[in-house]
Amino acid sequence: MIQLKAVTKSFDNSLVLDQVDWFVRKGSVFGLVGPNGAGKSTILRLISGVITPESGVVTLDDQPVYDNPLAKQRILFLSDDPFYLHQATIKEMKEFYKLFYPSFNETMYQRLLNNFPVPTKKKINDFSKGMKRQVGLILALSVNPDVLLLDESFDGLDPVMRLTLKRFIAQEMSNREMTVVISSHNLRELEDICDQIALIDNKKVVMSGQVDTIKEEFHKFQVGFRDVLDVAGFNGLDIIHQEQVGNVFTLVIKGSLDVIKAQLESLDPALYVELPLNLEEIFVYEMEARGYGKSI
Amino acid sequence: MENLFRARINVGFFRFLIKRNTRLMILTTVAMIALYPLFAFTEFVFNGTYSQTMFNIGRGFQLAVFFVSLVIVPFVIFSYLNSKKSLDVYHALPITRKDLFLTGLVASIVVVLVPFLLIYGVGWVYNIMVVPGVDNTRIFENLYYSLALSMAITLPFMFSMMNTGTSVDGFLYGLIIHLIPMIAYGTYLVFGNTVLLGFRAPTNNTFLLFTAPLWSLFELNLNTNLVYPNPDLVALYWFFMSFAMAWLVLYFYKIRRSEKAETPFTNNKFYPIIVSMFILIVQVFFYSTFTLLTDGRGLDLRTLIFPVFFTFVGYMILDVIANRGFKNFTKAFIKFAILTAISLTGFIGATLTGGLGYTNYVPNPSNVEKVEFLINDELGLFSPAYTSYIYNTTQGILAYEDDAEIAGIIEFHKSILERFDELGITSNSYNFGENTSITSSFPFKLSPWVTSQVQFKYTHNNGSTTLRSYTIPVAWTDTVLPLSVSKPNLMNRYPHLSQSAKVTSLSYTPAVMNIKTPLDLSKTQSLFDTYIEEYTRLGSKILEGDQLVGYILSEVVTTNEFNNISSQALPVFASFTNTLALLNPQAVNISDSLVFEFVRPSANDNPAEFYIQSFDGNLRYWNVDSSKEFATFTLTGSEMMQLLPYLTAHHVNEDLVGLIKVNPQFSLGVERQTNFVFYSLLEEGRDTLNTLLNEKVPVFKTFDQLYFNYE
Repeated sequence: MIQLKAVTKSFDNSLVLDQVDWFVRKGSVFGLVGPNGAGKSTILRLISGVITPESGVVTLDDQPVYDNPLAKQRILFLSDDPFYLHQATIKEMKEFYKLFYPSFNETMYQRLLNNFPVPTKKKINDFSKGMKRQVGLILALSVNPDVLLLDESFDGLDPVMRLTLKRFIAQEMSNREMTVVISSHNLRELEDICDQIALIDNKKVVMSGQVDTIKEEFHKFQVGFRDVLDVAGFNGLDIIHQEQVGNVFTLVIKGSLDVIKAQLESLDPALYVELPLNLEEIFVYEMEARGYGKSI
Repeated sequence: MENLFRARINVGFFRFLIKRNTRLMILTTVAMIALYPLFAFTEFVFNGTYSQTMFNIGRGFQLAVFFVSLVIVPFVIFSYLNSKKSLDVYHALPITRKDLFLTGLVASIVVVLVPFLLIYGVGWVYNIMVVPGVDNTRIFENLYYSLALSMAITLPFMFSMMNTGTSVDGFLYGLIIHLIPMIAYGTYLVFGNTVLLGFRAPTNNTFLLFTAPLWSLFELNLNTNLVYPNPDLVALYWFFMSFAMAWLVLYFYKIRRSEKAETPFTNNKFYPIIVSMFILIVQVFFYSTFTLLTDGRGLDLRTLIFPVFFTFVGYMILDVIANRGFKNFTKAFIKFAILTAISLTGFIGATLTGGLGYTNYVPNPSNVEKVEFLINDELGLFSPAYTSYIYNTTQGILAYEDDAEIAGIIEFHKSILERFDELGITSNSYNFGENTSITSSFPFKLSPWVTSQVQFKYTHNNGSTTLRSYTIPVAWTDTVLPLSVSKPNLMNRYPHLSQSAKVTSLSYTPAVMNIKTPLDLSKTQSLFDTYIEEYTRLGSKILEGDQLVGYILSEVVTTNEFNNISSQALPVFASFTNTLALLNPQAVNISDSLVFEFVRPSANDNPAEFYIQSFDGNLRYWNVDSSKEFATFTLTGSEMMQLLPYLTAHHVNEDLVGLIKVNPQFSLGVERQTNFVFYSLLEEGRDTLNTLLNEKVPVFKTFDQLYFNYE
């Protein structure tokens, strides 16, 4: 479906993406996470054809996206700060989108409007931030795109609205295999909706895959020992986070659960508990392990 | 260019843009209607008459509004370029950049042209209703000029938009791009006139018509006398140039970095190139202007320090705008220093080397095929005595193709340069009035401020041309004085002697112009051939003084566009024996009822002030003090008979005896300033004159009384 091959992009001699390879299969909901300035929005802009890479290609079903109306007709990009024409109402914006997207679904538009009431005669620029985002999502979903790119688009929505929109997206995915790529800092939210996730850091996609698979790869344990433990006993484990209070250790370890368990048990701990680990924690520990925010 | 022609207008989006900009169109329509037809119509309503002045002012306003619309509208249509979040929408749309660009461009033009055409239509109806003999051709020509130039006006701003990230920067540098050709041309003129001795400014603004669309818009629409270059072709040129410009703008649009919107420049090379070019041109303009203002003093600190200071301030202002602050001040200072070093090196180098040899260049005679030589002198030696609208700009140009004559002209050219060199003059901005060391072998002393424009146009063997023009004291024409009585000058002065004019009647009159005898028209050619042959043979002897016998008067219709030259008077001298044989003049008999006047110069008078050299008898007089009086004496017909052998014209003499004023008894029909004819007297007639004036009491007259018979 969407493919980035050896994509490099820089802004003013500052490298943002370096030889990025990434693939998004059809019908998936991909969450894009990464620290600020990692290049999440850049990837979305590259996929939507707003910008072009210095090298490499971005394709949709093997067709280059940049300046390719046929490919772009299937993609809708909703940025973090949606733009509306000066003094435009939602009706005018609908007309604007209808000009370019033959797939625009009037029924869907009406359905969304009924579900998310928006004053149709009022100028959008007079709306609140949340209302503006709501309008953006109504228009984006009405376009009926094959690929929906959402750049932190849920931020600013109230919880009810957020939930309803998620349902809409889920429905669209199951009805017609719409592909969604969402960039967000809210990992709890991504965890709810995404089936796949990618972590962008240090100009590359450092981690990408099914949410469940990723979650299965990270494990959190609390182990305590009667005597002072020689930490050499943890050797061989890929510990990405470690906390120690006396003889009690809290460890976040990457790898096979069986192997980890076997090694920890071999140390004969007095306390041995496997703790739950959510996506946000995984992201935080993984980024920490990569040196992000460690100095503070 | 292929990209441009493959682009397609997105009709739906086009309609959408037009609909969204309807209010802007209404606003423009109201502004134009108030400033153009309504402006003129109000005048008509209040005064009941049509006022051309009001209408012209209105047209000027209308063009200004048209220009402003052409500037503003693209900024409105393409406003999305300067906002990152709008670019996220527009550039994600399923439309190619070239289609998006073309649709926007055409929509911009339509948004401007709809009000313009509407108002033009209203203005036209007003013209038909109110203006007597309305010039429809002119009206539609103007419309054609405006339409043809519309894209060329708007595209430089769009080019700027494609390289900048904000509207303010887009507008500022768009304006600079529009101004650069005009400032560059102004610099070229001031630099040439100041630094390049011999530089001649072009007589028209062809350069600007082809490089500055803004200039062309106003010039083509407002200058009703423009003949060359053909205004229709200039407009057509801009129409086609617009496509090249659109292609360039499209290229920059395609490579425009969306992510750099909202920053001053989306193209890092744009600002340094445009601003460096602008500052360099402005610096040279200021150096030249300040040199000019110091009366050709040449290079000194004052001519350089102020331009550097002014441009420094300008550069820093531009830098502060570009960087939105003073953070780049040191770098800007260094860049300015480099630019100044370049411009100063260039300017000083050009000045010291005389424009890299431009000023000292005189062609080798063996390389010259033809010389076109022109002297516009106040004495009228080389140009017709009385110039008026009937003479075109080529009048007075003497063409020489003979090797010896070419060599003579080149020697004259050299002598001018040597004399400039002796006086230490290196530029055109020199006031001869301040100089007292001008030497000359001219027959009489001339004030240094009596100057003449001399122009040399050399056509080289390879077809290239060299043009030089100098303002020199007339006294410096001493070496080429014989050319004033050369055949080319004769043919130039009297076009009917060549094939370019048709003679419709021919007559002869004696110098006192009391009678006119018709001549046989069928013998015109043989008479003229004889006259030319004798004139050429006598050459510079004419300058030494010869008795003026009479004139051959011709009614002429020219075969070129200047067909309003009505008549010509050819002087016939006593030494033109063959011509006189053909004319067979009857003995002159002057009635005593005819009165003549003699004007005696006072001891203080400069003979030059009394110099009468024109064949048609005009008094060449300048620096007239209206209160100054001349001593005049009345002469009877019989007294005049005694002076006839001593009458002359075109006589250059240091010791002027005086002037004889003759009142022609018939209309000469020649373009002249006075009805009277003035001759000078040959030295040989001084005794006879003194005898005649003995016991006569002078009557003192002012110049106007003498020249025009004013009371």
